[in-house]
Amino acid sequence: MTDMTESSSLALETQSQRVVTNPVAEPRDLQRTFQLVLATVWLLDAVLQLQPFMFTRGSSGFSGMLNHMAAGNPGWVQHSITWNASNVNHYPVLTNSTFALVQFLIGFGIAWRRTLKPALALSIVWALFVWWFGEGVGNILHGGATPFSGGPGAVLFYALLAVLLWPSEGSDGPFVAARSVGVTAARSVWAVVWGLLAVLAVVGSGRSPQALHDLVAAYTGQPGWLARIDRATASMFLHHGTTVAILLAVVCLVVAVGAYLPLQFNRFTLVLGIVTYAFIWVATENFGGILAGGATDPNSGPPVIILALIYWPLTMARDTADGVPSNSTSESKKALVP
Amino acid sequence: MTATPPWLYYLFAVAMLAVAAYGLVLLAVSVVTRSTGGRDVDIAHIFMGVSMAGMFVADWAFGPSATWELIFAVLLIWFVVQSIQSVIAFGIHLTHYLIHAAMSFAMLLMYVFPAATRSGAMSMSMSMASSRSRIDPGLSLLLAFVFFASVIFTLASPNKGASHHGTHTPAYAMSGAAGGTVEAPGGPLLVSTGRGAVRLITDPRLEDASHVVMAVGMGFMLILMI
Repeated sequence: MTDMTESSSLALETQSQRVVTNPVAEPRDLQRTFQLVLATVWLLDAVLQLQPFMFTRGSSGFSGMLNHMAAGNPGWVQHSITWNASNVNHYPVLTNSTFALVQFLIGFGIAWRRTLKPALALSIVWALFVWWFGEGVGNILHGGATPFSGGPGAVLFYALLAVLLWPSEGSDGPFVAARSVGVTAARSVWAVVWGLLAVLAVVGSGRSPQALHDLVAAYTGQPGWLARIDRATASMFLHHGTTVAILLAVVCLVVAVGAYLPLQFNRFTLVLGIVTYAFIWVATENFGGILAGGATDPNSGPPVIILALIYWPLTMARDTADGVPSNSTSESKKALVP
Repeated sequence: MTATPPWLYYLFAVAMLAVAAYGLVLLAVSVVTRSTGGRDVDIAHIFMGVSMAGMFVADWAFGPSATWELIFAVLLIWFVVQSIQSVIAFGIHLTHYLIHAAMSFAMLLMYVFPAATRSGAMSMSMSMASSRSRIDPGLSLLLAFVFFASVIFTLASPNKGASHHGTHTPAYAMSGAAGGTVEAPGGPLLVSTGRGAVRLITDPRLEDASHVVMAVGMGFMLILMI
């Protein structure tokens, strides 16, 4: 990473040959920073798409994985997924190279300012495509979309991030996500997302006593240290799946209403959401299965954590210190002073 | 049936060799113009490019692993020392030397903990030592992610050439307002204002591009080694 702590102006001291940075540093554009973090995840996904497994035909390859996602869905959804899987099976190199290329274009496109908007727009379209054909509509339609395994679909969060990080003028206050869609809409989105996660935690197969244990116990091929975590998690979840699911639902509801709470409680709920999803990412998503060598993305952990970070309330002190002209609305100013 | 297209590995191998060749040209130009800034990165790119090409296409690999391990260990130490010196000189900051240190570390790991990748793209020199344990997949993923972040932030950085020279290089030198060489931390810096070909070759955007290609290639290889 090339000096992310950039200074706006530099001066050369010719005698000592030392360079002194200007003490008045330009404020960091947090929206841009998070756009670049999102681009990094897309680039990771693009490279994951180039793994040998992705070019492999049959049930042990990418097409087999896609076919597996069709199971349990309504007939018309199943047909669309199996049709796509069939194409991938017949033309693995062509389809997979195209999939990788699209993701490279999204990643590099976000990095380059001139193509930022088209790249974000493409990422939304592509995310919806992947959600349908690659993630089986997030397993929502047959009740298997527990947040513990990435429900309602990791790639949906990519699309949501693209919307909330859509480039717009103005300051990052009161939180980054509000910059593109406004405070009220951003908070509504937050409440709906975490409310949905709460519902998904307790409906369908995810709430059965054995479901979480079976989910974690099914992982194979992980490195030793992660396998040990899996065993501990599986043991912890043994016969307690329902309790854990209800606990997660309560946590999600608390996080959902957190956006409307005073500053210190808001921050607490954000930390709660981040810690919860960090745990989920490691213990039940197993880093998206990447370490076992058969994953197309890091699952929902990273995008949800990025989502939480763009809702982190920024204090008035930051705006003042950075010299950012305050153009926040009265609503946003209220949010800064709980 | 695994059907990884061979052209993919050849594509990456050629790209790695192109980066190595570009590093060699930059090094030659810096010798001719007596500028020293960025030479360490050029040298690192030459070694990394050649060895990475050998990892993607086994037939292109040469030299014993021990030699490569020694080279990358020396580069790692060099860049770590440079990072420390940069922090001492300019205070706490994310110096560009760190990413080169991380890349040297990754190269070292790939030789110390060789593993026959699922692609079968590893060089003979590495696979011969396959009796040793493999690199931890978690570390591979972490390093790959760091390299991809470096790629994205380099592309987005307004300071072109910073992946090569860092952001403590005088701003006017990077923009080409001065001619020839200028004094800068780490020695005189070659400025992209020479005539014709030299100016083109030393274009900071090209230097960044070589870093981007190298980082993507290395990240890909680390993912293959998981």
